[in-house]
Amino acid sequence: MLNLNAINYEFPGDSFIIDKKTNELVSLSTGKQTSINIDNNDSHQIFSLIAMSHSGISLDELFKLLDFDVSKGPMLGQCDISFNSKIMLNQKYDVKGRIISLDHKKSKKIGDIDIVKFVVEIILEKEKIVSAEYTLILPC
Amino acid sequence: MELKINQKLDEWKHTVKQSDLVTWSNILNDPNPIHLDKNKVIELGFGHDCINQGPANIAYVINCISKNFKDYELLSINNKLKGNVFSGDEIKVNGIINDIKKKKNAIYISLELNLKSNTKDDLMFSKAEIKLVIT
Repeated sequence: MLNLNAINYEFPGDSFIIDKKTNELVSLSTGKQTSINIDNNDSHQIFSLIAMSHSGISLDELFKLLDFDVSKGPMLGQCDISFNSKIMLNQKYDVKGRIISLDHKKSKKIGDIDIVKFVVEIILEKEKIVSAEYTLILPC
Repeated sequence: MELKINQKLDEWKHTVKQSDLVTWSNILNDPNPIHLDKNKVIELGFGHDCINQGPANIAYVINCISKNFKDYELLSINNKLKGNVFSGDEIKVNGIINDIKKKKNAIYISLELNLKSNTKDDLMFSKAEIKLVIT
């Protein structure tokens, strides 16, 4: 049974800056080798999800908060991301987040599962530029 | 290049390496053992090898969009993950233009994309909206 008191929990929040080296590491690790654009400051837009690791709570801490044993193998089920502007290099972004809901379901594939939904937002100068809503599947 | 509804995107391919899973576990500060310990994956009955991080799968779809559209702005991308990508898998992303709208100095394009591997189709379905600025 998950910790239902975690619903509406707000992440502590933190900030991050994407440097060129980290952007290249991420790009290379996803096979984006030939199209790294050195002429502008665009980052890989997958930093919209990497921002979670700068939200003030680690995944490990999140699972502990939920009373979920990470060794059961949580999986990402759905992820919806909306952008109001591009994520750029060398820009300081603030990150905040919140747990939206916790549910319990039966999966045909893996049996009983809990489902946690949370949102992570990237903020630039008090304006939200990215919102990512996660749905994580937590095997019981 | 003229864009048309139902036009197929150029396919994007990649072979997933275990070293990339290690990189992503570090980047995401992700302690989940299914990315690093294949015996744990087997024990849990989830498959035969380490499971790729979901955000990396989404990055592949973004890479496919970047391959097909050089100067674009990603407005949204919604992803339903239906299966696992494993370390060593050869993955492909295919896509199609679903809709095109022209407004003022921009073209708004709706895309549907599918991620598949050499062992399984239909691993992830994504819908994306992008914007091209007309210069």
